[in-house]
Formats: sequence, C-alpha cells, structure tokens
Amino acid sequence: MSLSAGARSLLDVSDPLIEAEGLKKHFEETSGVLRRETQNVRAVDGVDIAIERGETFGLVGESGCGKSTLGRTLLQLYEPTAGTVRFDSEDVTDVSKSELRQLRRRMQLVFQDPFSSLNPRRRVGEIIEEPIAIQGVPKAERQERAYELLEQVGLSEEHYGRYPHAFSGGQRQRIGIARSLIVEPEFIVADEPVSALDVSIQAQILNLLDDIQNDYNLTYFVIAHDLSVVRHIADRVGVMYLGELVEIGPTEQLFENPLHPYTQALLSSAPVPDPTQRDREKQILEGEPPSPIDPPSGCKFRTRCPEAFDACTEEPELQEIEPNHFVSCHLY
Amino acid sequence: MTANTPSTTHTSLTESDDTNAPLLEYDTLDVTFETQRGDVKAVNGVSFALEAGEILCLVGESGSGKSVTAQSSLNLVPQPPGVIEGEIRYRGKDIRTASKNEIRSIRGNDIGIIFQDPISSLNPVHTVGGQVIEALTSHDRWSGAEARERAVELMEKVGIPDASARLDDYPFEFSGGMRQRVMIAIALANEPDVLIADEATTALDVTIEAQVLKLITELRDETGMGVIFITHDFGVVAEIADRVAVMYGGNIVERGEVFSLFENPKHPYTQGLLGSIPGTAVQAGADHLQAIEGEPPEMTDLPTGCTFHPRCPKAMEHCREEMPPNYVDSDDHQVRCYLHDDLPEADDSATRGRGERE
Repeated sequence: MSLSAGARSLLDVSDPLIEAEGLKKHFEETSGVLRRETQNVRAVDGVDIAIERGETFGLVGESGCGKSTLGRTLLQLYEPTAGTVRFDSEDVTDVSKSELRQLRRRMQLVFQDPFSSLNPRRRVGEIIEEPIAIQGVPKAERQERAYELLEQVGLSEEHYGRYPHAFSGGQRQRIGIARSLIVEPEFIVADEPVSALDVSIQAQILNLLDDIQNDYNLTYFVIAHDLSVVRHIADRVGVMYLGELVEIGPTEQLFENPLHPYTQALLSSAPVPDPTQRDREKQILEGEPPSPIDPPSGCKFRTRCPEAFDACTEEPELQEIEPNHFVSCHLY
Repeated sequence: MTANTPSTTHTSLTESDDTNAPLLEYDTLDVTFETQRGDVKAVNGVSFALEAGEILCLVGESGSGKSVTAQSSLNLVPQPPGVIEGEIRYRGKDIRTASKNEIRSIRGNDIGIIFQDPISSLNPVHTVGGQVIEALTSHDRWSGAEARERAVELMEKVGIPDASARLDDYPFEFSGGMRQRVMIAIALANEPDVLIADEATTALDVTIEAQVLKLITELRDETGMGVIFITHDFGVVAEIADRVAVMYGGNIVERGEVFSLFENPKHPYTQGLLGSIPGTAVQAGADHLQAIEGEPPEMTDLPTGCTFHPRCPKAMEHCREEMPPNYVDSDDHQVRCYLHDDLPEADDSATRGRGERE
C-alpha cells in the first residue's frame, strides 16, 4: 500500500518505540435469527501512527469509534486484519507465539474498570506478582518486588495480604498499575484509566501515572473520552472517528487550533467548568455517528459535517498543515 | 407542549396546594440504611428547596448521598432497609405521608425522573412507542389514539428523528443517546412541574451530552419546570445550573448561585474539587494536579465533626468535634465550614429556600 505524503511524514519520528502502518482490524459479526448472515465491523480502518520513546500519546473519540480496538491491536491482543505494527523496530505482526510472549512483557494494558479487572479471590500480593510468577521468579524475590511496587503506587506492605473487595476504586486502580509495572514494561496502553473514578481520585491517579512515567521511562498510549484528561496528560493527541485518525497534533496546538470540523465540534461540545463561558458559541453536532458496519463513502464524517461539500465524497488524505499537525479534511 | 396546562386535569395534590410553598422542598431529610455491617447514613439532615423554572445542580462524588436524596423524592427508597426521617414537600404537601395512589399520581404527572442508565430503565420486551404511550395513558389524561399522536410529538420534541416510524421499534434498536431521549420523553410525557435527572448524561458521549443538556435547558425555558440535576461533573454544572449544592458525606457542605460558587468557592472540599479538574486555568502548565488526598468516607463509619476533616488540608481541632453550622454571606452563598465563622449563621428558612418563607 502506498502512503500519502502526510502519512509518510507522520511516521517519520526520530526514535519510535511503536509504529503502525495501514493498520486495520475488522470484526465479523453474525446476525439474523440463524446467525448466518455476517457483517464486517470496521473498528480500525487504516491507521498510520508512530509513537516516540518516552512520549504520551492521547487518543480521543466517541464510544464505538475504535479507540480501544486500536489500543489492543497495537498490543497484539487482537491480530490485525491488515497492516503492520513494529515495536522497537521489530515487526510484531509477524513473530512466533513464543517471541510474542517475550514482547508482551514489554507492553502492558491498564484497564478502565478497577472493579472487574482484579480477580476477587486472589490476594493483592498474588495479583501483583502473577505476571512474574508465570515466568518462574522465586517467591521471595516476587514478594520483595510487590512490596516495593505497593509503596510506589501509594499503598503499603500491609495491603499485600488483603483481597480486592477491601479497596476503593482508586486503590484498585493503583493495584492494577502496580501489576502492570512488575514486568518493567516500556510501553503502556491505558484504556480510560480514570473514567470510573471520582473526580478527587482521578487527579491522584493522573499524578501517579505521571510519576511512574518518569521513574520507569515509560511510553504511554492513553485512551480517554474526557478531553480535559487528555489535555493534561498527553504530549500529542490523535482524534479518531469511525476507525480512522482524522487529526493528529501536539496537544496545545490541537486544542488551541483544531482543524478538523469533527475535532472542532468535539472540543466545543465538551462542558467547560466555568459558568462565565456557558454562552460561548457551541457547535453542537446533529445526529449520531453512523455504524462502522456500513460507514459513509468518501470522508466518513461528511454525513454530520456542517461544512461538507462536493469534494467530500472522495476520501481525504492526511496532510501536514503546520509542523507536526496533521488533518484529513478537504477544507485544507 | 404548552406551559399552561390546565391543572384541573391533574388528579393529584393540587387541591391542597399551598401557593406560597416552594415547588419541592426537602426539610432535614435523613436517610439511613440498616445493613448487617451497621447503619449506612446516606443522607444526614439535608434541607433545600427547588423553585419553579430553576435548574438546581446537586453535585458530589459517589456515596455523597445525592442519588438517595433524589430517589427519596418519589418514595423510591425501599423501606426497609431504608429509614427516612424529615419531610419532602411537593407544593406544601408531604410526599412521605402520601398514599401509594397519590405517589403514583405525582410520579410522572407532577414529578418526572430520569436515571443514568437508559439501558436498564426501559423494558426490553415492549416497543419504545408503547412505553411512551403507557406513560401518557396511565394518568388518564390521554386516550389511546391521542396518546399515539402525542407520543410521536414528544419523541420528535426530544430529537428522535423519524419518530413515527420508530414508534414500533424496541429499545435494543436504539443507541444509548436515543434511549436517553426516550427516557426524557417518558419523564416529560405529562408535562411535570419538576424534572429530576440523576446523572442523566453521564453515560453519553460529549456530543450527545451537549444535545441533551441543550434540550433540558430549552424545555425548562419553555415550560417553566424546576429541574434537579444530579451530577459529579463540574463542567456540566457550569453549563446548566442556576444554583448549586455540593454534597459530601450525606450533607450539603456548600450552596449558592452558580457564578458565585465557581468564582469564590468557600468550602475546602469544593475548592479541592474545582482544583483537581485537569485542563483548567488553575492547572494550566502545572505538572501535577492538585489532588484531594485520601478517600471519601465509609458511610457505615462517618467521621465525627465535619465529615470532610480527615481529608481537609485546613482542618482545625474544632472540626473533629462538631459539624459546623451553615454560614451565609450577603449573596445567600452558604457554607458549612468553621473557616467562615465570621459570617452569620443561616436561619432555617434560608437553608431551605431563598427566603420566600416567612
């Protein structure tokens, strides 16, 4: 597949840890009474992206746009339908199962829901140690590591022998983070890491993610629907709509000068915690995103776009409008 | 929908209406759940009043008592295990002493309620149209044929495209945003005076949330209904509230007019919450967010004194001993915190309403 000039320059970063090219993940969904009809859900539909070592990349978009699928496909938790993923310059879409197992240790996933992601019948210590227990690390060493991590995530040794039900949501998220850190990963995909938490606890966890990034030199791919969370934590932001990245740019540039009409609408609909701004001009989108089973031809946003015109029946390509700020829209 | 619905068609409590009374009034409401692990004090002496035409936001974190307060408005709190004390008055009449029939008549007719989760609130085996029509006919205000016509009208009003064609669809054929619109249509079917929305937009995407907030504000402008909007999101509060009440540990710790509360938050908890929102001016350029340390209290084991004192950066000895009273400034901005003991204490009527009561 030939890349557009925009996509080529998007992939051209100096020290990439993870790169995806032409990445697609389609799911087959059966329907009808006899489950004989199959439909293709195009969850991720052609994504090019390169994430630099030590960077925090934030991904925003509405539910169903494919952001979680993209995160999991980068981690090879889903096998891509098309395209490649390179991790530390190695093509991970084309490696053996045992090689993949080795690689998995270097990449971890932090889940949204701290209530269902911890095994309720295991003690906290066992939960945290499990990834290295599988690798055969001796018990004493595991326990020592678990103690250190408990401290690091803001808990303490005394929590080691307790069960998850004794912990609040924020504490459970800390346990989940400790568990992901025990294998000393380089890359963490955090899928809505704070959306299930109370506001006062969200800030604690965002601060923790920031601290451990410095301590472990981590590269983050943070998926969130909350724009303010992404604005706070990300160096660079991608905006996803129906399986495609429609805009990518450095965080402040993208928030201050959104180019894609979808990004503009998303930013303008987000509630602003300042009542003096309630009468600002809001661009409220009509309708809802179309189904990823049968997305519109051409630009996928054109059915809801306030600025759609003739050219939008053709598929737009990513272009670099200002340094490192890319958009896929015929207006530019 | 018209603002001046003839109240004669209501079979409800209109006869006993006290015209000077606030629309809906909570008077020292206490809700306790008796559990095996001990008594859970969900709401501790909450008093406030809702006036016609205003949007009052109850804001707080999980366990603050905001949803239980809302549910008790329609006797939706199961008793037992719940034990409710205090009064909730709709137009001056105590809902708690109302009969089941009276409650049924108030619910949907006078007070409409929307919950967070539109998926479990709709009956999956009945058509969407059927459920809207049922809401219309159950209060005997509309006949079958009229109700069908009105259901289409309502569904159009809340922004469901192609409403007449979708009347016979089932809930699973609707998206989350569209189901929430159906819930709003049902809540508004009989033109209630009060709409209670409990985290009604929390499960929705921001673009859809913006549509629903706009819809609720427009309906309020048009019909003059009072709205209690329960949320944890200060962004939403800033967009729609006229007045705000901040809840913590089953109490209202601060309340006031929305501009005053955001500009000059008085309670350390409110200050902490506003300060911990990422992406705001306070946080701009800051590497670390100003988090509130610790965790919200266990409702089975509430701290003594001010329930916020274990997490409060400014806690004093006195705060551990006794819950502070409500102090009030000249703008009727009230706060339960000893840091403001230079202000006069609010009297009872001011705590409840905006001084309309003599």
